[in-house]
Amino acid sequence: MENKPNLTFEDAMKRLEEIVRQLEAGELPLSESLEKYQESMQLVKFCREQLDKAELQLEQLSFDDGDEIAEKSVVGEVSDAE
Amino acid sequence: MSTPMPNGVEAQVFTVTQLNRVIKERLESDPRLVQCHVSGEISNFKHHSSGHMYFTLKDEQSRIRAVMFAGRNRRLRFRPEDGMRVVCIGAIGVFDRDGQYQLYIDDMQPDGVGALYIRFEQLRNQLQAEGLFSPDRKRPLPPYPTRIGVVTSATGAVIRDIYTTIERRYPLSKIILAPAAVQGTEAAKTLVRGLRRLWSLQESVDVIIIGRGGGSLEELWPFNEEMVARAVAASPVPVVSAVGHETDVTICDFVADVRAATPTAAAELVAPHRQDIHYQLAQAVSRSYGAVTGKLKGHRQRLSDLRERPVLRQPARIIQVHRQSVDYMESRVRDGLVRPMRQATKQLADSERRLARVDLHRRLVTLRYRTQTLAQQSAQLTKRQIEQGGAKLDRQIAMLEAMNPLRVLRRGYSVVYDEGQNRIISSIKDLPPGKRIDVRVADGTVTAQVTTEKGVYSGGEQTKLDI
Repeated sequence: MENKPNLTFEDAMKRLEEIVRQLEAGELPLSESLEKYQESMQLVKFCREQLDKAELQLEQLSFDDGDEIAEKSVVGEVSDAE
Repeated sequence: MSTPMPNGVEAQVFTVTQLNRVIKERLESDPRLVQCHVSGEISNFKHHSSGHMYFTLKDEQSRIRAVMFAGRNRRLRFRPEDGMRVVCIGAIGVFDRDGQYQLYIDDMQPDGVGALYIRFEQLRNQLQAEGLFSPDRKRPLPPYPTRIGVVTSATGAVIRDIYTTIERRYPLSKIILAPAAVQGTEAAKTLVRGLRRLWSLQESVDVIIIGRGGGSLEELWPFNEEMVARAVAASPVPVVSAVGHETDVTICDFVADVRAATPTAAAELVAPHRQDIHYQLAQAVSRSYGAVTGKLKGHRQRLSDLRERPVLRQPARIIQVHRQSVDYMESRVRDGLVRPMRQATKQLADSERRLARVDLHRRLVTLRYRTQTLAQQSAQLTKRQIEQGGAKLDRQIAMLEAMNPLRVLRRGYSVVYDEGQNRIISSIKDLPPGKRIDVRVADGTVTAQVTTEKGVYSGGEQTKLDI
């Protein structure tokens, strides 16, 4: 679970909401409840880590019609602009 | 009244009234002046209590008096004021009393904006009729966008505002900027291209912000272009429109899924705040924990309820119950088996007692006596029967002796048998010549042969009397 490489933050949040809903519905057998609880804690940990370590990226497409993406950060430029 | 003139032409003299009337007729019949467009700057603006507007239109060299009656100016979309450049549509008229011609204005627009304003209105009505502004078309924004597309100038304050806002709130995402010109003649085209390029990315964006900073109507105009409006309407991902300031409204705003008052507001709409997410996560933790501990508590309660059951509290009772049933079964067995046995025993004892009361010896003597008596009677009876039987036999033997046919042979009769003495021959027909016969006489038998050719048939049966 923790090592899922493709898990996005959005997926994690969705999954977490789903699990909390299931747990609160109280319909799961006890053993499954405990498993889901563990999973929810891992998801919370994952989300918190994502939030804490995240750094906003900015990618700028080139202005021309060409489809190649200019992978340059324009944050500096943008901040200095005006 | 006429006065001779130096050139000999007789001149016509008008009264003032006549002259003004001629001028009035002349001016008001000129088609160029009946409906003319005039641009100029407003000065000496007066909005009379009657509702009519009086002012002067002027340019660098000249001026003309203008009036716009209340019935007309009520429909104005702006408030005229001194120094404002306007374009007016109206007719030249003459005010007889003062000998003044002036411009009677039917409609008026701020200069430079008017034509655009009309296009704006027309396009808005058209797209509205097509249903492009319908609330049904509005899509919700993704709650946790991974990739946020932005179509705006690469160098303006807009991208910076968006960047800093999202960095502060939700740095988990990535901003993909599709640079575009946000004013000027090429702007609409570059805006549409920017949208298209965001759509065509291999890794698609979750939401798009399109916008620019504040400006005049002309500057914002690209966002009122039909091609931009239609591109926004066609977007496969939700679009947030953020054009200008709060008060600026563009067609793009109407078509977009969400309208943001400013680019910063757009960024806030697009991305959740991480504080909120932290709060949500804390909520999730406590809700999960609460749910699971609640479940556990429920199970514990059930467990302890079960343990409180008498059966589990006093396991000996289980044995007691069984013991009881054993007892019960035993009593039933006793009823079913022991009682009949006891009865049988009792019957046996009774029988013994009764037997004991009987005098066996006397009974034996009696029986032996009866047996002897019966044996004697039987022997006497048998002897008598034998004696009687002997006498009867003697009589019967004598009778049989008297009836023996062989006694007749002693008187000279014989009997003819066929050979072998199987059959007594009593007819001549059974005695053909050569037939061998046995002849029985009183003291023996001889065998003979018929020698005669033919016997004599005397006919009829021999009777006793014929002998």
